[in-house]
Amino acid sequence: MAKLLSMKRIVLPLMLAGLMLWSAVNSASAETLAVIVPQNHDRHQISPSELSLIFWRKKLYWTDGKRIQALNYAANNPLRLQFSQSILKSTPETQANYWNSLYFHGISPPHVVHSQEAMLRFVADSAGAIGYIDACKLDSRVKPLAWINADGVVLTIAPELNCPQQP
Amino acid sequence: MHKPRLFFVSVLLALSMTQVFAAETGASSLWDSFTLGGYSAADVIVHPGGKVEGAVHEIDGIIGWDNGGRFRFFTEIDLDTPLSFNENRSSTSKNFHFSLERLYVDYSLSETLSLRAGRFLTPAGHWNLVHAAPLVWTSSRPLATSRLFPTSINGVMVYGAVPLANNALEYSFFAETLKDQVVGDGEIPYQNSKGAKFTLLGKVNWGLTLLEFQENIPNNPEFHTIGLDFLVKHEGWEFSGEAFQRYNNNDTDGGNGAYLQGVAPLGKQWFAVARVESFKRPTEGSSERWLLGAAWRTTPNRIFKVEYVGGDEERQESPKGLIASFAILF
Repeated sequence: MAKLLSMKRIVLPLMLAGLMLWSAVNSASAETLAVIVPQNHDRHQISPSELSLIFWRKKLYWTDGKRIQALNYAANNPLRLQFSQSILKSTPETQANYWNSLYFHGISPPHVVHSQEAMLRFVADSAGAIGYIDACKLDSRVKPLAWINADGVVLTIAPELNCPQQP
Repeated sequence: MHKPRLFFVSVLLALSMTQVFAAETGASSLWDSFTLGGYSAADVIVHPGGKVEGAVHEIDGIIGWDNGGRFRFFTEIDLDTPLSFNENRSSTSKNFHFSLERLYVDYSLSETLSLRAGRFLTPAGHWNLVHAAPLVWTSSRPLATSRLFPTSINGVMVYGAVPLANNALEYSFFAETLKDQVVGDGEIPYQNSKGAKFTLLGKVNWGLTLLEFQENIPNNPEFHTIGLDFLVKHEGWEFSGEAFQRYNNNDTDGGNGAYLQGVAPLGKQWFAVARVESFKRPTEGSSERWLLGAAWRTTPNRIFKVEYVGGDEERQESPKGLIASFAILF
């Protein structure tokens, strides 16, 4: 009986610590994303289905006739994973066959940038561009059209953000 | 003598190009406007009687041009069966020929409306639009997707995609303006083709195909075709199917065909494949097939496939037995 109690003393704290660690890792890897376009873009909102069409390269033009330039991160980037799962309902790895089938029709996947700063600069300087960043990194160079929270829900009004203090 | 040498040089070049293949790139240059690539496939068939045949079935070159404006250009040129062998002849390249698979110009009229003119794949079902060997799970193709309607059309098409609540609808309307000038051996000649295709994109993609055409044979029978297709993918699993029913101009059965296919992941790169299919065309009779196989996708653009195909009487367009193939997209 004493042995059982001593086991409980070890196992329960271990389980609690594990749960806390899992929760911390989970919240660190899922952030609120902001879907961004150039500051002078005439759109103010975008729906999840339109975002999906754009990032599947099914919709290639904005209403004003400008060519849409969708931008992604590398396949192993956590922001790309979160965006893909929320909007495209699949992981980047499982999309390879789809992009091959579009390549067969002469359509390339979205361009890839390698950092959030590169995304901000590319979107700010390119008419027709659309991308996404960690919502805490938003600045005046770009305009947000939507936010995607950690649960994958698309919001059209800016949510409360708990951004870390900049040094 | 020079042809096999040319072929092997082409294959080596293609294989070396795959080392630099990357669909997703951040590179930006003048050449970004062009897409240069292609695909190739080779297979070996052991027929039920033990007869062995092999062939490099195709080396296709793809050229696309898209500078971000309203115009796009695309073409695909096919070098068909450049090399084949069987038990009696060690190798032959006599049957090879070039063909123009696709050649079209796209013009975007608005965000949801584009116009295509030229030679393009008929938007009928799913398989016909992604029929390239590296993009499909099996070496053999269901007859229902190749011998019940024209697989390509020379004409015009209006197409686009519109958002619908949480889904999207893709549509296309198309009509032939110039009938095929060259009809290959075993191909069915068609004329006056026109139709429409609608696909509801979502967790499951549902497609509806409507087609009208004439077979360019004595009496020029006219056919009306309705087709339904679906495709669902989830974490490596894939289920798909297509069914076509044709009616001819005196309201009698003009033939039909269907297939159901399932793909199951076996680890990260291996997949199990199973399919059943049926086919009936008035001047060809009927055919039934079942298939069990495996596919090893070594990289996203290379695939090895092994399958066993059973069913009723064997036919040239739908072989039976053990089939192994390798396909590459470059």
